[in-house]
Amino acid sequence: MRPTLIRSISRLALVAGLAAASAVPVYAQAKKTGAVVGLVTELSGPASLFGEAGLQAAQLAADEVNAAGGVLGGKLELKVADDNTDPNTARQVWEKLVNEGVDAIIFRETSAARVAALPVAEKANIPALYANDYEGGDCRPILYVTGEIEPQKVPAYLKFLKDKAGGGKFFILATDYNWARITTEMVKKAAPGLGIDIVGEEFTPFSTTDYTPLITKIRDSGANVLFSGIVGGPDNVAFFKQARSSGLMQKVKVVGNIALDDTTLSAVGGAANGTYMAASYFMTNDNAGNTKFIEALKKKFGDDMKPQGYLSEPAYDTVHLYAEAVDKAGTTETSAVLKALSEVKFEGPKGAIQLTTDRHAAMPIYIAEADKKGAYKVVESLGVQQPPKQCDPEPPFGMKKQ
Amino acid sequence: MIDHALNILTTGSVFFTVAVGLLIILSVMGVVNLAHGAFMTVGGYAAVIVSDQEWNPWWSLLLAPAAGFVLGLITERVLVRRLYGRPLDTILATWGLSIIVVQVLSDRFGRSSHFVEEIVSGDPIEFAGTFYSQYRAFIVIVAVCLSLGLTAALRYTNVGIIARAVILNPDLARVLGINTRKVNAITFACGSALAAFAGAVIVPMSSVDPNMGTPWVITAFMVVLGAGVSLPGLWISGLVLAAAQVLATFYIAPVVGSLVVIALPIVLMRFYPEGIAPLLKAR
Repeated sequence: MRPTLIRSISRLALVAGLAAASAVPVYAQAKKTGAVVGLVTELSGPASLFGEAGLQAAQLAADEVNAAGGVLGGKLELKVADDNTDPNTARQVWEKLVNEGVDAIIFRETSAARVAALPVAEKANIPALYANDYEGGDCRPILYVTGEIEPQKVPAYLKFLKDKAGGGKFFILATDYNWARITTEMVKKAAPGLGIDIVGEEFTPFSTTDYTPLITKIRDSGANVLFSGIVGGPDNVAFFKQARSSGLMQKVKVVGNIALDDTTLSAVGGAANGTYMAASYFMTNDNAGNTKFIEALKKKFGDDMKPQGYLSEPAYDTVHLYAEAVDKAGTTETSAVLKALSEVKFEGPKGAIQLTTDRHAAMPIYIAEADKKGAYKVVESLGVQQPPKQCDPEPPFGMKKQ
Repeated sequence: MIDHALNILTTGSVFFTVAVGLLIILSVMGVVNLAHGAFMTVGGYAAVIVSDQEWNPWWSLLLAPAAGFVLGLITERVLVRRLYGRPLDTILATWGLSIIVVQVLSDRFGRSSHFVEEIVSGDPIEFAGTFYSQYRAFIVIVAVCLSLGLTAALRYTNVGIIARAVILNPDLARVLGINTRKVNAITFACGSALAAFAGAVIVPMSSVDPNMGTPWVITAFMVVLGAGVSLPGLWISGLVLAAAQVLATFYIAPVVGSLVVIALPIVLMRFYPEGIAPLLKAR
């Protein structure tokens, strides 16, 4: 932290001196080497479990890029900022980074923080790369999404669950908030085409402690698949413990999670044993790319290494993708980088990622089963899944809309 | 139908267990103990310690009330005793205390959730064509034992007779030479112990975090509001609210289910400000 801080202070002083009268920001300099990227994530607050893991993934990627010669003949530098899992703080730290003259911002934040902070990058006209899973549909021209989106995995996942259960009667149970509601709508839209019958849906408030009436309702519905969008450790533990002890897990054949990521699952432990999850990345995936990734993290962070999941690993891919795009563009200039991003490809821990011209990402999706110890084991690969069209491709990239 | 009946019985038992400590303090001392939720959280963390040490989970049913009792005794001595006859100030003070307790617990155990081993676990019991969780059956038994034990203690022990005298007329009790200070201290400690006990009983089916008490203190308050000063009243109030919650969750939506628990006692207050206790006595 310390050298970066000193460097950024001296840089600021330099900029202030150079551009005393005009408000021309740093990236107007000609012939620069290297690139400075802002990395915003949650290092405090409720989402810090993901943020700290995301930071480690990004730092490892930056090390690798620099060990391989850096970008534009110079170093790739990360300026790390904490958004405290709070949209207001997010906006403030984005503004600070833009004032410090970063060339782009890579961020692993909540959707609320994304919506609050993106106007800052739009105004400054710098690329913003969202290294997280989300529900899809954000089409700001400066934004690339490098994580998966739910519409990309839901149809194939539903088909897997239906085949597994040998029948298509689904009950949807989800935590009552925006993301889960949108995902539920997605499931309902995809269901008829797959021969799936939605026999019930219920939304529960956060921190529900008593799921018993709903367990009765799910049992009475005759569902053979429970599609669960329950969010967070406490709610998942409460539900699965109660479901198991009242015999629901014996009644419904298959339970598919959509919101129980592997970091949360490790806190949940064995209560969710035997349930499924679909995601682009699982830490336990034993393909070559991931083995190398985990080894490198262990070497760099030792005992401080945080467990990775599909909500943190994208930070690693994103730093690599950005470095390759800058190299390909031969500059950090915004429209050139945005154009190059849709042309680069990265082979990483989850397999090959290809960004699309509508600024999302095609990537492999895996299905994993939770075991007794609270870890997912990959049981099937669904292959590379293209995201359904999200946005209009927008060349020339990065033009500011007035 | 049988499913609903069983669900109402268990949720009602949880409501009774959670509210009984609050009821006892309120009826003997006239104090609304808003630290009730914080004491429940302490009980929850007692269960976490037992679980972490890999002791037999039954020990949590002993450790939790012991911790609650000591904490209650100290609270009564340094806080509540100074505020007798000032009900509003007591509410504020106990609420403030609960904030302190929650912060201390956050500092010691962190903000994240902890999970606790079940005291009773195993396959569900098959009963009348439906499955019933062993743990929920255990909670019903705990609640029934608790109410029988308390009724017996109030009716047949000296402490119980003194407590009832203080409930009926505190001033007269003091004139008769009853040491109301001592009664109050013991009552507050017992109420706190019951809160912590309830915390340890309910957490194996959900989870423990520093703020777990807040929703429960509201539920407990609502159940007591409906009940008035009476143990049978507390059962009826608990079961009625449980029925409202279970049925509204099942037939309407979970959000409505949690709403009726708060709305129903408020409506009841409009017509029966003393709760249902006077109705039981009138017969």
